[in-house]
Amino acid sequence: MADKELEQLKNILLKDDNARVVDVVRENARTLVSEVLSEALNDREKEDESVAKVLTPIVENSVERSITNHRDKFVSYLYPLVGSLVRKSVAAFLNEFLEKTNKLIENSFTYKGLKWRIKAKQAGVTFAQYVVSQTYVFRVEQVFLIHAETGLLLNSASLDPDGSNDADLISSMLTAINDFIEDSFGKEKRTALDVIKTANFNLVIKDGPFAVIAAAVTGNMSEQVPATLQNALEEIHHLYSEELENFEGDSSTVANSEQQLRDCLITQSRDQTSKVKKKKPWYAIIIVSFLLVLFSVKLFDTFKFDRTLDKLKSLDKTPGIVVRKLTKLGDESYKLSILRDPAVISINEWMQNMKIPLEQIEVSEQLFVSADAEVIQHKIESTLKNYALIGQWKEGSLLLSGEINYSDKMKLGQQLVQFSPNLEVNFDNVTIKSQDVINEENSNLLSELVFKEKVGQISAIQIDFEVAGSVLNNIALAKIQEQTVRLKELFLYAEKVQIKIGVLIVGTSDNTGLQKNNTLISKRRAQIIKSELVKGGIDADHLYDVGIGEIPLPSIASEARKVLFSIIYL
Amino acid sequence: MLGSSAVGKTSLVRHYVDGIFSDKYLTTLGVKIDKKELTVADKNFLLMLWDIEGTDKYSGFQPRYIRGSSAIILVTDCTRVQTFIDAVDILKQARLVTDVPAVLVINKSDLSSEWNIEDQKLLNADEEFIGTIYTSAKTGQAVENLFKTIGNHFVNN
Repeated sequence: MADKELEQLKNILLKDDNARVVDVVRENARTLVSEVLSEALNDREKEDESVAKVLTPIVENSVERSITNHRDKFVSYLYPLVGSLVRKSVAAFLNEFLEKTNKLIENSFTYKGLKWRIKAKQAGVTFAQYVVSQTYVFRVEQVFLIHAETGLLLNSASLDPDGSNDADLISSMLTAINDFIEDSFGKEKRTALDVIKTANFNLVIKDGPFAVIAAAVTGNMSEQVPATLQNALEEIHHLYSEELENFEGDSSTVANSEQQLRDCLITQSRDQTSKVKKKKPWYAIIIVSFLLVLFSVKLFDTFKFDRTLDKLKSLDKTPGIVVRKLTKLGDESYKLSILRDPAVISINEWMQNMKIPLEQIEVSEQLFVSADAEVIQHKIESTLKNYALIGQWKEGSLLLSGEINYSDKMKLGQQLVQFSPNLEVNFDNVTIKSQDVINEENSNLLSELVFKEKVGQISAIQIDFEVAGSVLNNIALAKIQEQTVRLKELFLYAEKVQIKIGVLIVGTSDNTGLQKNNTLISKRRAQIIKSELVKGGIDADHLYDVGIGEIPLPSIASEARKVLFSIIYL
Repeated sequence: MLGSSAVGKTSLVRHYVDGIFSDKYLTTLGVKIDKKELTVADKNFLLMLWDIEGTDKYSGFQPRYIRGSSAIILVTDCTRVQTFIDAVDILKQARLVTDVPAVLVINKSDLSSEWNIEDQKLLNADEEFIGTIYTSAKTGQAVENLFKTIGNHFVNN
């Protein structure tokens, strides 16, 4: 029914009485309203919270007017409260300030302080800022909500999923401790625990009318923790005031409070903490690097020294150089005495190549001619370079190729024989320069050279015999054949260069048996060779055989069963 | 757990929680708290056992410890009549703080009794307590039963 219709109905029913009823109601309005005012306000507030909205501006205006008009009264009301608040705030500030200052002083003159100073520089912040950041790195590990009266655990939250095992006991013990403190020290006033400090963590406790909130905090906590706990506790009291007041041991009634407790599990800037952890341990790195460098230098020194010694020892293996003596003089210096073929690398050059400091080695050198195959090869090769010829080694013989003057060819042949008398040189691929006509003069000179070469070749031949034997074996016969050819050539060249020569055939024997017999054996050996050469077509008049018996050289005496050749100029 | 010194409060709790008995006497200072889960008639209880420092006529009673408790176990020693006299006093003081149900325990019942069961009348045992239980922490006699009695009381009321 609409309001208008209701009004019409009232008029019809009550007519004149309507005004009287209104009067009566108005007369009793005060009583009627006062009876239900509180309840009505409560109901309405619960319904749509409009009462607070309406009252807020009214209250604000009233308070403002009151303060303006009755300033003195307000001052007297607030004085005790403000005084206490200011005192508490100043005390808290001073405490924090002192703690920070202490930390600053403490950290200024210690290893940690120095470390932090460097780290602060690295991070580009002031030292004070860095200290604060280091001082307030903390983690709230576990939070308990405890019923104030019974000490029973209402709820708990933990960073560690297994961390709440003993939460019941912890909460009871905390209550017991609080009871004990209150009983022992707070005779009149209500005394509550605030912070319990241990070496590993702080237990921060906030006390409320029905519940207590306690948090285990590791690290250096900031003021943020107690403030957060206080807020959470207030929120829990606000949300669950009824449940807390009527608590009878069933904690499930406040199970939802876990959210508020979880909010208390704060960790100061996890990123920052992990960043700090991730930072490289520069100190350790510097010290370790320094030690490593030191160690390496020492190791290198020792190694270098050893290397020098090894290198010097290897000098003996160098062809054409013989180490006679290597003496250690001091820590890193040596005295070196060597024999060296002038054709090979100089000792200074060798040491430079081997990176041996010259000043460490004192060298005394004597020259000699080396019979080392490599040295000879080296000599031959460098000689060939002078004649612009290419030499190839093939099965011990030297195959030459290129173009050369005839006279140079002869000179080269002579030089090569000097290096190695037994060397076989093949000139097949060497062409003689055509314009180089051989004249009479040249021809004589060349014949002389060839003659000398043949003398050398013939003198180099030795023929070996069996023990006490004078029979020729196949090797000996072959040698004799070659020797016959060489001798024939030699006689031809001897004629050319007009030198009269004879061939001395010298027989020798070893030192076994009687000396007399040995002389005879040696003589027979020489005779046999002579007769073979004569058989080969050599004029016997040019051959002279002698037996010299034993050769008194200890090193060859037992092996000297030989026939030697020597050219004699007549 | 309330009662005079050395009546066996700690031993009862220890036997109940850990199943251990020791002849060694260690006096409890302040309070010792233990936890035990109990199931009676399909209902689960978490017992927080506050084993309170023994009280005698020279030491004051600590009523704050029983504030918020759900039940009182008043322990006496059948070999010492004084513990019974103390119990009368303790109960009187406890009742100033709380009216939770209480159980009278007469411990050390494996030893010969010094006082007569009739003396219990001093306490109005039937009215004051939900039960009177003869226990022995040494033999374990009726220890479980003691805590079950409390559980039963809460199930039925």
